[in-house]
Amino acid sequence: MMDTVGILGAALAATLQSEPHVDVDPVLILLRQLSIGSAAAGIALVIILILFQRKMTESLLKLLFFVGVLVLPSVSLALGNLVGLQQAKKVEFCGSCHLTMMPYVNDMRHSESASLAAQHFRNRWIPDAQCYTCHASYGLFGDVKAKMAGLSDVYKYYTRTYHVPIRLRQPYANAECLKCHEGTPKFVDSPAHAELLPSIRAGEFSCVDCHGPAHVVEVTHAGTNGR
Amino acid sequence: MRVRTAGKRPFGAAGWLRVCELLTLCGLSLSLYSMWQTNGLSFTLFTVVGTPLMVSSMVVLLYLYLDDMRKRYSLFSVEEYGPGEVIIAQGDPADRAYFIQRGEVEVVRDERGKQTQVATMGPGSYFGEMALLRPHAKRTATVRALSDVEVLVLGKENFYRLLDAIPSLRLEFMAQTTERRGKPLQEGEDSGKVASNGDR
Repeated sequence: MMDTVGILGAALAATLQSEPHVDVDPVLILLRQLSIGSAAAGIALVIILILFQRKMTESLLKLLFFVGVLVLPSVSLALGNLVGLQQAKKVEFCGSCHLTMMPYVNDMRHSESASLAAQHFRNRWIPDAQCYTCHASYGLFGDVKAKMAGLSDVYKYYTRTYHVPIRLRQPYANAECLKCHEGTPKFVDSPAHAELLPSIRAGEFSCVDCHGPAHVVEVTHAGTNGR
Repeated sequence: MRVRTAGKRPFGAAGWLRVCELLTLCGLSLSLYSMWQTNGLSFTLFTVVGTPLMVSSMVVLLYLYLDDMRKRYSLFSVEEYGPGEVIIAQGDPADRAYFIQRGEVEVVRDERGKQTQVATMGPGSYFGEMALLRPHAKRTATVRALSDVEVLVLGKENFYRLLDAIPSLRLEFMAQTTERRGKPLQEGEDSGKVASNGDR
């Protein structure tokens, strides 16, 4: 019982404290509005069905059920998942798990932080979805893996079963850096990179060993070394 | 007699419709919450809980639609009778044919007040079809259930539809009629997979 109250409290706090999402993509804005509209219309229709079902003729009942239970929820499902997946890539979404993630978000946004995350954010090297860009694997199943890991993280967060300091599940893969940097003039011109490229690719040592730390946060990073 | 006729039943069962409504309401509420404020919890609830709820509701509703449609356009309706109940009565207008699914029936003919059992029939047998081949025919015998009986009932309109779809059936029924006229069923004779003389 106390766990449930705790989870609901955390959910309410997250809802109230979440930063507003600022959509600039007109398509995303339209889809979001359509999703909200279809969900609201569906709810209204289902309430009408619940209240007046017995007074309706069979053909009207069928029509309203078709629209209220099949059509509008289908629209809401499709658009809701589509828009939700896009919004889930935003920094604000990652930051909605305040206790664990806000230190990392604050560091990234700090104008004087020397962390790799802050440099990338400050210089707009990654223009949008900064957390997601670096922490979702590149490839066919990168998104899926990121979402599955995210589900686990959300569960741990709201049931308060996470451990501080939080750690990456596995050492940060160099491939996540190389997907953008490999082949760029600055990367190629570096003699160290040319010499160590096979080892970098093999993951024998990490990019952040030389270029880190990835994040500078107040909580202890024992064992993570910023990876 | 209990009729389980498809088209006469209201669309879906009220209980299942209520389940659909509640599942959809929960799912849409989570969808709205997720769109209003997208955070880890709201989006997870929407994808992990709301989506399956709405999909389940759609599956249930689609099943109800298809079940309703299947029964509405079915050639047959189903009727159940208890022991001793009269399925057709001698002298009644003949407008339907019966196919026995379960149980046993007896064919009784009333001649000048004297009732004579002329046949018994079981699953797989059919009766009442011969009268449908003749306009304005009346039942010439009474058919009564001997045990719990379930019959498929084929109305006149659907009977002709069936004959149009399978023309050879008409010949079979006509042959049956001719045969029965020439050879009345004896008492207790097993009618097998053929019709009784209930309509003759």
